Amino acid sequence: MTRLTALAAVLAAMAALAQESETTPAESAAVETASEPPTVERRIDETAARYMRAACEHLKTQQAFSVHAEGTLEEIFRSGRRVQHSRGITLTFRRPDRLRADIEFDKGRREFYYDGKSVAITDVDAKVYGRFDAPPTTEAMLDDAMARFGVEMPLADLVSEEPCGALESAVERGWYLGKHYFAGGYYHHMLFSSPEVDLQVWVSDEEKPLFRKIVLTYKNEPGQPQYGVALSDWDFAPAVDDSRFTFNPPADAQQIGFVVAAAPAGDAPEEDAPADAAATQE
Amino acid sequence: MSALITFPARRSDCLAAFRHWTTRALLAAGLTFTLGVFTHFTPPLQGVPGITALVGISDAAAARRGGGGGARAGGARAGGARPSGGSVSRSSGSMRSSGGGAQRSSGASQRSFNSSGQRTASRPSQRDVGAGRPTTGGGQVSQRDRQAGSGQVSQRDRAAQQPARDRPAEGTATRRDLAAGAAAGVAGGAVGGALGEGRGEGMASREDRQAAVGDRQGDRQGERTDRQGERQDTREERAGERTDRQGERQDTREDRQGERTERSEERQQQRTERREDWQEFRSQSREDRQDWIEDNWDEIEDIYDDDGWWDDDCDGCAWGLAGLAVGAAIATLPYYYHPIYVGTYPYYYYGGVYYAPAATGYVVVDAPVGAIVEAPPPECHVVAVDAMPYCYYQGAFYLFDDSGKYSVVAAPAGAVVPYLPTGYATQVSSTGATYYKYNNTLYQPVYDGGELAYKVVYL
Repeated sequence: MTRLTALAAVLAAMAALAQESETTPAESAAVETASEPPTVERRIDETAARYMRAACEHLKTQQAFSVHAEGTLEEIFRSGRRVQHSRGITLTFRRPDRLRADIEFDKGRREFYYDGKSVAITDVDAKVYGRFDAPPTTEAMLDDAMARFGVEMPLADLVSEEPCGALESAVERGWYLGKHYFAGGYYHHMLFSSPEVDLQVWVSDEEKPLFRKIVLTYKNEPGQPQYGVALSDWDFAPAVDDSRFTFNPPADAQQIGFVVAAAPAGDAPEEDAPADAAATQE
Repeated sequence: MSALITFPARRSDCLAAFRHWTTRALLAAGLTFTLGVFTHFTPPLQGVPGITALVGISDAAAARRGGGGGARAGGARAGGARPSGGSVSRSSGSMRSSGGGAQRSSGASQRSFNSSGQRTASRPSQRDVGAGRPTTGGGQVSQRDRQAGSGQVSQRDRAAQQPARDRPAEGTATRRDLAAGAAAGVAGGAVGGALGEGRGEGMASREDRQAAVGDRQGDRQGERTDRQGERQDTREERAGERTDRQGERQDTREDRQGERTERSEERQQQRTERREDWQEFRSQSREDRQDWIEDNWDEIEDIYDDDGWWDDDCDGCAWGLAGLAVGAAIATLPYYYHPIYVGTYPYYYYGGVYYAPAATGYVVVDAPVGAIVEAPPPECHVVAVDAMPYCYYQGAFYLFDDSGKYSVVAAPAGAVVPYLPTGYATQVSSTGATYYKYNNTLYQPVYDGGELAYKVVYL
């Protein structure tokens, strides 16, 4: 989830920079954004910004969609050896207040439900679930889940009102790398860089461009692990009746609580103590 | 006399060996000899230039063995369990094992460390800060520092002191052989001590060994200091970057505040800021944990590296990738192990797994509360309870203690761990709630940041 948070930041920053780049001369190969802190020089290739903007705008206008994501996350041992973990996610979304994610990974099946009133998370194989009340819109729910429990919904940025958001903090450089092959097709391949993360994005070459692959490299973490996700089976007319977003706990499932995470104290988190949770909320 | 062929090239060590075997030969022949008789032969031999040829050691063999070979002399080899060489790449452990091991006491050395151990001059460690403990003098002290400062007994020394019945079966050129050889060497050294011979020579070679150990310790200390300095620099840079980022975010927010005109933009802005806070918060948490690990890792790595636990050829050395279930019976111990005692019960520790002697071989047991180990399993998860960091691994909680080691402690209430230990049982309470029980500890399932986790509870 933390990985996706970083993805959110970078993706959003991309869009923000892309929007800014729209106001600059198209001939410019590199765009320096305005109204940024003077110490940071940001240069995003205009072509890269344009494709990112197009993909984000297209997603933003969809009222409903489903997509399948196959993600891989690296775990790096102290010895330097790498182990890769995979996670499959099928996301179904209907604006403004329905979301479901079906996840399968090393620990079994996990499902997220949001029905406009509450959020439910269930680990099917473990026969447990947790539930908490939620605000009436997806956008607000995402904020609330994160603020109260540190829960980041999978692929949350794809369902945001601003898929690429208005973040401007992360990305400093961006390059368009060309049309490159992936999974049977050729896609616009871009590289963006922030101090902490390098982000590669593959976007389809069509009138309504789609994200097809995203790879993040965590540059400052030991071993520079990567998180990659391949997006497929985009469907912009999925079955989105209400029942699909409503969680009905099985009779033999146990409701469990959420650890109430220590919230960040503004811009100055408490020092030194590892930031683990202290209490749970049923 | 073939054993003598393998004796070291150093004259003092050859002399000791010669004396030893001469003594044994005399005893075997049923002859009565006295200290005076033996010393009668000693002066001429000390001055014989051809002593090396006398015991059949070629210059080439001497060169291969090098200085370390001499230091290894009287202990393992005189005891009759000679390593074949090559398999045990680190000679330093052997040097520590040879000679004098019988006089050492880990307890005494630990006390010595506490009172006079060397500490490097550096910043307070994250561990000390995080644990809320006062940092004396600011720096960390490594395992070797402690050994250097106190003559603390090494793991090999302790292995050498294990009763013969506790030692694993004989293998070929294994670490256990070395331990067994060292044990026999200690016995051999005791014989020499009883004879009152060669003490001066022993002192000289011991000084050589001490000097060599000191050199290596110095090198490692320097490297460690460098690494600490580098990490400190990195942390200071990160702290500076954090401050910069905070300042930038604040500036940006102020700018944006002035520019806000629409409510949707404001909501987005709030969300952005919240996310930034969380990202920073999580990032710092990761960095703090990484700092904690790095701070402790020098010691851990020294121990593991010194004992060869990172050997790529070591089967089963892939930490955290696989483990043995409690109750599993094995015929022989892993290639590397550390003998420990909890009370009077002996255990052998390796990679977070504890083995207890069984009728035939050994059996895997739970980490015994009260066990004290040099280092926790490297792949343990750091969890915090009341700001106290614990290393969690397969149901065991390790806590760094003031003696510089890690103690297995009872599971602290409130600890949230990412996985259950292998072999847990499901237990349903009278209210219908499901708990998981392992080794008398109850775990309650909870969601932690959207991930299924388990909280230690006491009902």
